[in-house]
Order: sequence, then C-alpha cells, then structure tokens
Amino acid sequence: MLLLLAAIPVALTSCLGDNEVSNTMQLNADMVQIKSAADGTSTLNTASYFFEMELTNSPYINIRISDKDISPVAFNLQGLPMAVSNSLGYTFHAEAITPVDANGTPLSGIEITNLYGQYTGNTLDMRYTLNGSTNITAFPDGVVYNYNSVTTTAPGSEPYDYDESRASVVYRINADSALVDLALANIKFVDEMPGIQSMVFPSITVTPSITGTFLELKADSIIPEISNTPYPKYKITDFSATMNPSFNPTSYFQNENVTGTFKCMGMEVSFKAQMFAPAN
Amino acid sequence: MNSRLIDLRHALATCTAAIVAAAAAFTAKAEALPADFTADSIITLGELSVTAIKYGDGFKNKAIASTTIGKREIERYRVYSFKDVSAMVPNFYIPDYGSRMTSSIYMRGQGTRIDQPVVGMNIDNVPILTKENYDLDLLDIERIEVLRGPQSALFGRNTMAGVINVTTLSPFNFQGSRAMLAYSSGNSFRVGLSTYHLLADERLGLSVAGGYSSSDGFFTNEYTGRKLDHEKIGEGRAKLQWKASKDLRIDNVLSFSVSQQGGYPYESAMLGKISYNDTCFYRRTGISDGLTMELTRDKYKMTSITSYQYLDDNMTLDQDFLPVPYFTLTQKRREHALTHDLTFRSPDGNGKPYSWLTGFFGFYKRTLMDAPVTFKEVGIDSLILKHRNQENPDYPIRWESPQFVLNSNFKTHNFGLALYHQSTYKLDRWTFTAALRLDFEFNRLNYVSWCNTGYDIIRATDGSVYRHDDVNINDPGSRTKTFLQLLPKVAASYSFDTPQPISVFASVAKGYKAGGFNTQMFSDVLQQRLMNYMGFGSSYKVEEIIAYKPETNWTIEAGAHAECFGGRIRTDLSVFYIHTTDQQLTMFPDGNTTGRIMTNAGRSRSYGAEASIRATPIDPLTVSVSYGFTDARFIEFDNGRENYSGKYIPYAPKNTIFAAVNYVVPVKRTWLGSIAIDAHARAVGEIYWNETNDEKQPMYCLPGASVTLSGQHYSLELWGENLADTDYRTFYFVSIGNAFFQRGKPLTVGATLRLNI
Repeated sequence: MLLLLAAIPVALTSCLGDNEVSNTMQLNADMVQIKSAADGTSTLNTASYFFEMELTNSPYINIRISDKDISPVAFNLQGLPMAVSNSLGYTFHAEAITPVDANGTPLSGIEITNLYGQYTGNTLDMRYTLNGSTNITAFPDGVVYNYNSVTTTAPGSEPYDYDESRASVVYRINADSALVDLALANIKFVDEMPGIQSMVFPSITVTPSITGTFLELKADSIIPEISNTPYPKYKITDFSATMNPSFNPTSYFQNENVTGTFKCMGMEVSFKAQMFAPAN
Repeated sequence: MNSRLIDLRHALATCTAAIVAAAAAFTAKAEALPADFTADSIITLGELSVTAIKYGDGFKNKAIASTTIGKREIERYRVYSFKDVSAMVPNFYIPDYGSRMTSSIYMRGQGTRIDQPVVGMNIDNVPILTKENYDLDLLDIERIEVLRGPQSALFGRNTMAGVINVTTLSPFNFQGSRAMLAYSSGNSFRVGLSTYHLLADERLGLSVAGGYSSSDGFFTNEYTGRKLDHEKIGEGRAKLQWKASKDLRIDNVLSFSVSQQGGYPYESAMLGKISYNDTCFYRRTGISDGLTMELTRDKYKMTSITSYQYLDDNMTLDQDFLPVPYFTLTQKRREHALTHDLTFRSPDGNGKPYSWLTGFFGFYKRTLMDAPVTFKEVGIDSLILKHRNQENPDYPIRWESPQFVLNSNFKTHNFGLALYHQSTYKLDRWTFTAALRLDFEFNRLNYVSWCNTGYDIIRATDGSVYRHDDVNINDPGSRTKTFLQLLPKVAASYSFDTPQPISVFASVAKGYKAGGFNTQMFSDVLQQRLMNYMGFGSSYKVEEIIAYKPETNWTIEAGAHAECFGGRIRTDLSVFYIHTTDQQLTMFPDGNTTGRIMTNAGRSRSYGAEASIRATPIDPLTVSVSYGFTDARFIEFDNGRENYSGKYIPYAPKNTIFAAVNYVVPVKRTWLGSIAIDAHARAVGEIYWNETNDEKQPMYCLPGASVTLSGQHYSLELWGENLADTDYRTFYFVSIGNAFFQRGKPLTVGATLRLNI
C-alpha cells in the first residue's frame, strides 16, 4: 500500500508538461503553388514539400521543397524559428534564408526572401519570393474550409440563410490538369432540402488570377455527385468561385476563404467558407 | 372557470359535507373504533419492513405524506400488482398500457415513460432496480405503503417522488392455508394457493405461495381478428422468517415470476382501429431473493438487507403498429443485480430525545441487451428509398433484399454506493429530523451497432445497374457516466396536545433521479448512418444524444395528520411545491426516425395539494375519499425547435380522485357471517399527451362496485369495474408521423372466491 501511495505522485509528476523534451511532427504534402512572375503572368503547378517541425518550447521548422520546374529541383530551408499564437497557430518568417542541400551545404543560384508560413494544426500555407522575382504561394492540394455560410435567393421568396457549424467546403486541386473537385459538405440550399453529406462539383476549371493572389474556378454546367452518384436533379449552372489565400504579413493566412455563386433549380446560391472562424 | 372544475368542486364539497354531517351525527355517541377496523391500515409493530427500519413503525405523526393500503382494501379492490392502486393514492397515477414492461409512474406531476422511475419500489424489502420489473402479480399482499415526496435521503436514486413498499403476508401474522379462485370478463381466470406455518416453537415461520392467471384480453387486432392483450402469468414465493433469538431476526423471501403476454393494443388514430401485421409480445422471467437480518444490541440495532435480482425479458414489437410490413423491434435483455443496505440505528423506545440512523447502500447491476430493428419492405421504401429516390429519380436505388436488420448490442455495468444518516430530535411536542445522503453512481455502456446490407443504383434510362454499394457498418463504442449527489432533507413536525392524535409537519428535501443512456436511439443512429451511405441525412451528434443527465428536484411540503372521534375520522392533508431541474422526458424525435429519446427538459415546477379522508360514522359503514391536485408545468423547456415553457408536463394528470363507500351487513349465520357492499370510483384527468398540449384526455371517472359474502372460512365477491363503460385513453403517442392511442379497459365483471383454512 505504501509503495502504491508513493507511486502516485511519481506518476503524476511524470505526466506534467514540463518534462516534455521533444515533440516532433513530420508532414509530407503535395502542395499547389501559385507562381506569379515579375512579367505579370501567373501559373499553377504542384510541388512536393516535406515539413519537419519541432513543437516544444523553442519550436522551429525544417522545410524540403522539390519543384521540378525550378533549378535546383530540391532544396532545404533549415531551422526556421516558429512563433506560437492563440489566433494564428504556429507562424514562421524569414526576410532571407539560404537554401541548403541534403548535407546542409549552402546552394548557390537560388535565393529565398520574404518567407511567411503558418501551421494551424490542420493545414500549412507558405508564401515566399524566389530569386527576387517570382512570388510563390503554396498551399495543400486538398483543404477543408470549416466556417461556412450559404445564402440562397430565389425570385419571389425571402433569402434563405444557412449557417451550420458542421458545414464545410472541401476542395482537391489537380494543378497539372488545372481541375478542381469542390465538395460542399453538410449543406443545404433551401430548408426543404434533405441534409446532404457531401455534394461534389467535379472537374471545375481552375486558373490563377493575373495577380497571382487567388484562384478562379469556373464552370458553365456541372452535374453534381452525391455519394459518387450523379444527381442531374441538382444540375449546377454558371458556377463561379474564388479561392483566396488573402495573405498579409500580420494576419498571415487568417482571412483565407473560398467564395462562390451558382444557379441550381432556379435559385441563385452564394456560399462562403473560411479557414478560420472570424474573430469576435 | 370551466364546468368540469365546477363539477369537481361540487363533487368534493358534497362528499366532504356528507362526511362531516355523518361524523357530526354520530359525534355525541362516538365510540372508539374497534381495533378490527383500524387494523386494516396500520403497520404491524415490529415487522422487518424497510420502511419500518428507516422511519420507525407507522407514519401517523411523521413528517411524511403517505398512504397505507391494508389487506382488507387490497382484497376488496383486488390489488394484485401496484398498478391496481393507481389513483387510490392522491396524485399517484399508473396508466395501464402497453405491457407489463411499461410501468410508468406519475406522482405529483413527475414521472417518465422509460428508463429511470421517479418512484422507488420495494417488495418484501427487495429494492427493485429495474422499472420494467415493477409490474408483478403478487399473491397475498398484506400491505402497500406509498410514501409521497422525495425519499432520496434514505432510499437513494429514483425515489425523488416517492417510494412504494409492498409487504406480503407473514407466517407470523397468519397460519393456515389460503386459496383464491377468480373469473372475470375477457375469459380472465386466476387461481392462487398458499400455506403459512409456524415451526420450532413458533420461532420459525414458513410460507409457500403460488399463483397462475390467464386472460384472453379485451382488444382485438383487426388485422388478425384475434385478441392481442392476452396474457399468462405464473408466480411463486417462499418466505422463511426465523426469530433465531430475542436479539436476532432473519427473513428470507425467494420469489419468481413468469409472464407471457401479447399486449400493445395501440389504436391508429388514422385508421380508427387496432390493426397491425407483425407480432407483439412481452415475455419476462424474474427471480429475486431478499435476505433481511436484524441484530439488536443495547446501544444499537443493525439491519442488513441483501438482495439478488434476475430479469430475463423479451419485448417484440410491430413498431409501426400498422397493417403493413414496416419495421419490427426485438429487445432481449438479461440482467443480474445485487443490492445491499446496511443500517445501524438507535434502539427503539430508549426514552431518549435523540435517535439516529446511519446506513450504507450499494448496488451492482449488469445488463446484456440485444435490440435488433428489422426494416421490412414498406419501411425500406417509406423511410429510406422514397426520400433518396425523390432526390435522384435519374439514378434510383433498389434494395438487394426485402428486409434487413439494424443490430444493436449493449452491455452495461452500473453500480452505486451511498452513505446516509438521519438524526431525529424530539423536543417536547416537536420532532426535528435532518437527513443527508452522499450518493455515487457509475454507469458504463459498451455498445456495438452493426448493419450489413446493400443496394443497387439503377440507371432510370435503361434500368441497368449503375453501381452496387455494400453497406457494412460496425460501430463499437463505450461511454461512461458518473454521478455524485448530496441529498439532504430537513423536516419538523408538531403533535398537538389533544386526546386524538393530530400533528402538522413541514419538510424540505432534495430528490434525485440518475442519468443514463438512450439505448433506444441506436437504431436511429444506425438508420442515419445508412442514409449517410447514400449521401443524405445529417449525422447525429452521438455524444449529445446517447446520454441524458440526472434529474434533481427540491420539494417543499407541509401537511397534517389528524384523527378524531375515536379514530372514526382520519385525515391526511398535504400541500407541496416542487422545483425540478433537468426533468427527464421521453420524446419521439422529429422526422422519419423510429426510436425514442430521453431528454432533459430544462426546468419545471409542480405544485398541488392532497387530501385523504377516511370516515367510519357507524361501525358497518366506511367512507373513503382521496383527492390529489397537481399543476405541473415547464418553466423553461426549449428543445431548439419549439419553446414549451408554460405548458403542462405531459402524461401527468392534474387531478386524481378515489371515493369509496363500504357497508357491512352482519348476518351471523353459520354459513354466512356478513354481506359487504362496496361502491367506489376512480377519476383521473386532465392528462396532456404532448408537450404542445394540443392533445389531451379529459377527466374521466371509472365507477366500480362489489358485493361480498363472507363466512368464517370463505368469501365470495361479485364485482364490476368501469361500470359506466367509460371510453377513455390511457396512452397516446406519435411515431413517424402517425398518432396512436390505447383505450382503457371496458366494463368488466367477475367473481372472486377466497378460502382460508
């Protein structure tokens, strides 16, 4: 019994956070990159990112980027310190950082400046300038936007507002084919609609905006899918949406959102989903 | 003011006036009532009854509102189970509907249809842990005590509105053999045999009792053309009571009960008749053993009550209650329970002003339950395909089989521990009581829900199969809930310095009903998961619907007990106010779902009054009137879709009335000692059936009468109930958009022969 009593404080002490010595997280992600060149053109491609984060008292991040469209194809950004914020998660920033190879040897011919990044626990976004001329915004090829609102207007009726905490917008981009599948989950356009788990708008054409700061999604006509089955009844027309990382150096990607409009069954639907719930 | 209320007041006033006039007429020469008349409703001193252990003998001057129904009334009103005393006790109502599983008790505006009861029940000191095991037929009931108001401080969980204590005949109180034979409407037949003996220098009492009853029922299922509320019941009991020494008393009661019944005569409001195609039945086997030991020492008395309870039941329902293959439910359960109540108390009659009681209570209950819901053709079509295919007529779904099963299996471990204490101090004519209980309960639910089925998605254009989807759901899980409550009670009573006992009392007490798990909702959760497969339906927030919280209340009560004219008039009065938090209510979820859900109703309040008057103006004439009034409403209940604040709490009646006149004509022949004529009436209502209060049962009255011929060793009773053949409803509910109700039993007549040898 005495041994048991003695063991209790030992066990409790060992559970305390102060004893935590290491909390490492590794992420492999295919990231979509919007590349905005100095000549005003913007392109879309996919690059492989590997993140290794140390999330203890002195958090930092190591990043390995493999982009077949630049030279060298792969480079590493080592030891970027991260700041912790209740509203922003982990953020990292470097005015300039020297890329290194796998052995830690500095690479010549490549220059990374104005790097900003943010890890929210769910997603990781980055923005940086490559070689002083190309702004790159990198974000996952599949993202869930959680905070959602839908407003439906139809001729002769009151606007219908749908605000549901479980509603979300999910997209998956294929940058190589420049197509995106957009899914509206737990969504309703009108109150009479059954709750739909996920309505997928497949193969929407996606293009980066001229400024390179957002993506434009457009489709004249879509047959949406529910549970992998086409639903011609809900034929979508005049679909138009933007995915806007909305980066700025102080709030990082906090205002990241997707907004769109489409027509369905004679109604005009507009939706908006944000990565973060708006601050109170 | 409506006419019904005026009628009610008029009836009460007339009754009271008659009693007062009769009493006045006989006051001048009022003689003390013979012991034989009063013995009907007082406690036999020194019994090992759990109420006597905790409250002492009798409730005459106690700060408790109570009703004791003695052996004579039990036989006169043919009380075989606790349902038969409904409305005989003020504000105490037990609707007779469904089956013997449905033992919904309403007391003072409180009560629930499923899961935890508000009224606890002890049968021969065994605290019945599962409400579904309350409705037992018992042979030779000697006494039923109904204590109203929170008894949680001494009796713990699920006694927040009261306690029923049933005591069967003791071999120390009767020796010999008894037989009972009854036949009545509905081809109802009942037989009972029992024998009571004293052995070992009258220190060992032994009794064995057995009974059997059957009934063809009263309601016909128009679909089958057969009666559906038929039942057969067998029961047995062996009671061993041993006065081992002057200090040690040991009682053991072993009982079993087996019942098979059809039940569930639910009439569709739409069809105007009872008509359903699938079988409904309820089968139950119950065994219990209660061991009570009392050890008397100079400075204390120790009492130990240990019980084991076993329940094995099967409820099978045509859950749509319609003449179409919709869906069925089978709920099979096996349950083992152990209880132990250990009390120490100051010795009786020690002459000291201070007395005390300290106790420990513990229980363990383990339940295994299977609850498969079978969806049949119409159910699949109406509840699933119709909605899905309306949304996608271009790619409709076709189920792969005519029926499929949503399976749920539950294993619960439930235990509780409690410490309680009561101190009582007598100061002159005042008696002050304070009690406190610390009650802990642990409840773990392990569940697994599964469904294996599939469907084809068809191209409407050519009828070809677009895709086949298999549905394989297997959702195991576990939830644990613990509850900790402090349950105080304070009371004071004052006995007046009068020749006849008159006392007044006031009390404040907290009551507590445990929380639990909504096992009834798992088929709905599965159904939603199934719809999710097809991309539809909002997912239930399982964490929110699976469990419900405890319910607590505070009751402020005041009352009086009075006897006058040598005991010829005895009255009990009480008024009460109850404030309930998180009141547990059974709701039928919206939409095309099939289950029921227990929900916590926010806050509610109930106030009312109770009066019982029993007068014996002349020796052969007894007049009894009990009246209970309750106004129970939600103070705050907004379920997110509708606000029910201010509405009456459903299923609880506003008024209960019981009035009886019994006149005994002595004959004093060799073969015939007396003829007793009885006329009585029970009235109940209004009862609101739903939270919106737009459906209700108006107040109804059920008159009854009997004539009993009694000799030295026999009695023959010819009786009738619901003599006016009143048409009334005992239950109403709406399921998947359809309204159903159950009618009360019609006019019944019968004869009962009792032999005492």
